[in-house]
Amino acid sequence: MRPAVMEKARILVVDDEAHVRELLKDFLERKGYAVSTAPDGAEALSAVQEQKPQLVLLDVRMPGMDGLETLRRIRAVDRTVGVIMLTALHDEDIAKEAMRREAYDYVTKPVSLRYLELAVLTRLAQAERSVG
Amino acid sequence: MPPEVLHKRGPLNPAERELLQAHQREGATLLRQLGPDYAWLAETVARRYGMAEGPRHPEDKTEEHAAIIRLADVYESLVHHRPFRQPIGPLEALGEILRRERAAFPDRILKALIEALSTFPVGSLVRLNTGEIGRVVKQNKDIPLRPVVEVFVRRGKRLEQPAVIDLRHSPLRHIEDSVAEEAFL
Repeated sequence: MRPAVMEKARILVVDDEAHVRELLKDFLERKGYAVSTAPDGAEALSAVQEQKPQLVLLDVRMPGMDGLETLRRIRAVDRTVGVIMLTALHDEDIAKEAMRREAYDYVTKPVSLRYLELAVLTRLAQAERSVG
Repeated sequence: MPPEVLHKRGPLNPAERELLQAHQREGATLLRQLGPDYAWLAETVARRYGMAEGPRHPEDKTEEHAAIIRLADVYESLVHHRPFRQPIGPLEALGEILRRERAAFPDRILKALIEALSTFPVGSLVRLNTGEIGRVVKQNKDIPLRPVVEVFVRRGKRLEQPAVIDLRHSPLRHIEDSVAEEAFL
């Protein structure tokens, strides 16, 4: 099997704001990833189970089920999928809590695409290593 | 290697390229003279420019070693000054390699480079998105891209008292790239 870093790794982008979803999808597709999107936590959960992405970009602030609750439920069904949280400037406590729930990193909005790319790359490389 | 070729601006012509490639054969010849213990290294050096794209033979160790040397070459040339362009940062170089040369290297080696460049060892220098420069003083194991750094340059000026910043708890800051030690000696 070719490693996901090089082949099209599957990434799920979860954000309630359509323009953010589109921006991130465009960016990641240009980097060669296969990207799907979900507008809320409930759809994200089904997508994680059905599509088995290698990585989820998860917005913290969403109406209904927020990002942290979504992360908790994702972890209940999938211990290993990589999760990078998208947080607002003043979400320091939320970022801490996300780390406690085994998110890989957090990226503050407005998202630095360069840092996001680094986090995505390193998480995918790390996942490949742990699989062997 | 004639200096005018080594420091040439712009692409090499075929004759110059041949000169450049001759040095790998000479390198291999020198290594062979060191005896059988170095035969593997001589063979590796002889093949470093040999294969670019095309089928791979993962069981072939020499091929893998040669690819490691070639990747190190490409990386080194990106992060150091060359007559025809400015050096770029290590992470920028990594991005450049993945964008342009992904097909030219085995995945295993590229992954190793990603891992090596994205763990910021204690003592290494990093530039933050704020423009600040700091030294990594402690790694945060569960969040490898956000170590604790001691910032000693802010707004282009050296601070009298370095500021310790835990990037794990600093949503506004993140590492932009590593910085070469030479720049601050």
